[in-house]
Amino acid sequence: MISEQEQQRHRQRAAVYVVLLMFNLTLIILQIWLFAGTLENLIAGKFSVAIPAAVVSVICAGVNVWMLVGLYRMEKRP
Amino acid sequence: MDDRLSKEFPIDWEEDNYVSRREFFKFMTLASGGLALGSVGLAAWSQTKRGEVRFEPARIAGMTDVEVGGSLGFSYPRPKDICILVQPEPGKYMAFSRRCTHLSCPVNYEHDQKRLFCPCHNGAFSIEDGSVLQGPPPHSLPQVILEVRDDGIFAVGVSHGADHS
Repeated sequence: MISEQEQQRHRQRAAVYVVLLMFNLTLIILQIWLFAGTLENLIAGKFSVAIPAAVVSVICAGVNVWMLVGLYRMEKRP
Repeated sequence: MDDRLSKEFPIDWEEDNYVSRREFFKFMTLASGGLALGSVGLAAWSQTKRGEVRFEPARIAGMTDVEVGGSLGFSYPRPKDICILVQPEPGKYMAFSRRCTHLSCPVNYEHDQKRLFCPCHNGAFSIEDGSVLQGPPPHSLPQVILEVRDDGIFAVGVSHGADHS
């Protein structure tokens, strides 16, 4: 039998999951846009955007990994 | 037979195909890492395209093959990379890729205008550094690095223009 407090905690975790998942998807859409833009610029002979785009993309990936680690830690908590 | 199979391999298809939020999050994070790696790869590639690239030296002309104000076509470094060698002033040799950076039409040397002219869309490049003077070309012509030796003029590499930044 799940207690009322435990149900409340489950609901909170589910809400946190959905919010982080939405943020994760937003960052991935940003990364896809950066990747496509970089390719387009490279084909046009503009090489200056490649490095800043790569830095931002790596930061986005880092944030995503950080969120995933945070979710695992949240699940381990009693 | 089916009942026995179900008992021995009790696989629930719905459960097997179910993707939890955690698994979806993991997959999306993996995709994010892949995109980041791809972007880093593109950045690394963009760095290798810049600056000078040295190739095997190749003799492209003798000292008397190009007269002052004249030009000579050659291929470097690959047979399909068409280039043009010019002598705008006595003893001064310049060579550039002959493909216009707009739509790859071959450019011609115009000595009186001191430029390389593309007749397809009226694009023009400076004979000094290959930079765009007029027209639709998006960036300068790659310049062939030359070495004048006793036995002729040698191409030794290719330099991409200053606007490849």
